[in-house]
Amino acid sequence: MLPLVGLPLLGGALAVDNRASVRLMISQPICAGLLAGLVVGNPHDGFVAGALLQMLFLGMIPVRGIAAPDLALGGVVAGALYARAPGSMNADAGAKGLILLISLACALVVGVAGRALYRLWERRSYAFTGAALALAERGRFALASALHFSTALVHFAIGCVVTGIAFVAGASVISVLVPAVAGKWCEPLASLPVLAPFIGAGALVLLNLTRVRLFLFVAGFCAVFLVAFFRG
Amino acid sequence: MEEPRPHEGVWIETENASSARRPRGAFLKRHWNAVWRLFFIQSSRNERTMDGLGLFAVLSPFLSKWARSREEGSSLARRHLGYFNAGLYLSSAVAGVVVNMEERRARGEAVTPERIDRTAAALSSVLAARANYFFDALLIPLGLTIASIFAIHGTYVGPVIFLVLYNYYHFQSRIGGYYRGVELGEGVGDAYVPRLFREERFVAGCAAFASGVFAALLFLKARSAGGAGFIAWGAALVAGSAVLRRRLSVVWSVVLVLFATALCLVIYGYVRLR
Repeated sequence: MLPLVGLPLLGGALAVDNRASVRLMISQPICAGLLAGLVVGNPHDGFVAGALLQMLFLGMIPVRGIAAPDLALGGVVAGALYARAPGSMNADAGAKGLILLISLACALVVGVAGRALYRLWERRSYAFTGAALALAERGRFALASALHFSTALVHFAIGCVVTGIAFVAGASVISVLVPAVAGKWCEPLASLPVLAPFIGAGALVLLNLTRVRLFLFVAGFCAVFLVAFFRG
Repeated sequence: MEEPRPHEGVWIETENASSARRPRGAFLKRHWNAVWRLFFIQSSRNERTMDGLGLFAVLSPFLSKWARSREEGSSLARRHLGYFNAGLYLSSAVAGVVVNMEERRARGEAVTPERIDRTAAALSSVLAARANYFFDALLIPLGLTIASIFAIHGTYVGPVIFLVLYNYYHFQSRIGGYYRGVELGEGVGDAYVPRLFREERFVAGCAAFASGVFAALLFLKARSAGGAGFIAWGAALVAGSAVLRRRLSVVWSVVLVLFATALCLVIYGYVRLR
């Protein structure tokens, strides 16, 4: 019962951190996954899924015009599903890999949906400014500014609803799909946490293509291999 | 005849900048009502006025003090409910400058509303560009790469390091920026902006070095998990991801490479089983 109440609340709180511009960055997937894991009682798996989602998007710079997904909600969903999906606690390595893949897929869907909802919000939320202007012209400054803060509640509500729906839907998909298709052939999916972070490494290479930064990138790369070589 | 001022233009050194310096405790006590509001400035962001309502909410505790009549109050509200887009991290500095100039105008100094609006608009674009580059392109990637390096080894220290590193600069920009804006007024352009993020190049270097460390650790982990095959696979993923990011959106490139990897793993398992 606790996850069904706690996760939407966590999603709402992180949506406020991300969208209402508090920006303490606890809404980054690596933190959100850990928090979701704590809520469902399995922090380690939550952290693994959140960190993996984070690594997929390393090097993403959310400048204007880039359709950056809503990774805050995605991190909560990925962490919660991987840590608490039915059967995931005692699953074998192959099934765990499949659950991780489905959790990440759900997180990506939530990320894209969250972004679309926010775009819609940005188009429509001028209504708040118009109403605030009407109030302010009558000298009711406190009420006009309260209208601004009420939008944080909208972000909280969107976060709650999206996280709640995504968790319930994702858990249902996992409970149906994993027993039906998991088998020996999906055992190699256990290697997904080893290979998937390379996707983020590719983006990091792109970020460091200027001469000085490329030199430092190569220096960091070689330093690790030198240490590994001398440590045997 | 009025004497020429040293930096006439948008960024004029405020005459009483040094005398305006006040203890931070007293400042926070006086401005607390505006400071916490800064942390919600983009909550009502919209496509037409961006953060205009957010700026109004920050300034609203002062409006009734600045307005001498109801008409002046309405006019103030209309002006500050217009377009405002100063990014996230240094919008507080612009808000501070507006507070400083409006306070001076309310005291009867020769500060016109047009000058306040012009200053806010000019500072907004400069500060938004500086802060967005530092935070979004340098500091956050550095912090998240360090967090990921620790996450590879399964320790929770990484997120803590990231949060401390990021929030050190974050609070400095948002609370410190507001403080400097209120203290310096238009002088922010000369006295604060040039000193902003002086460690930018150092952070950029650290981010590049940390990225190299992260990539190398991935290859070492791949070698211990699957030998030379996984190393080649990892190199292909790095190349594929880099190429796709140049051609597709971030989400599509991640989705394609992730599911191609999963599909290859499943096919490999199926073939091995046969």
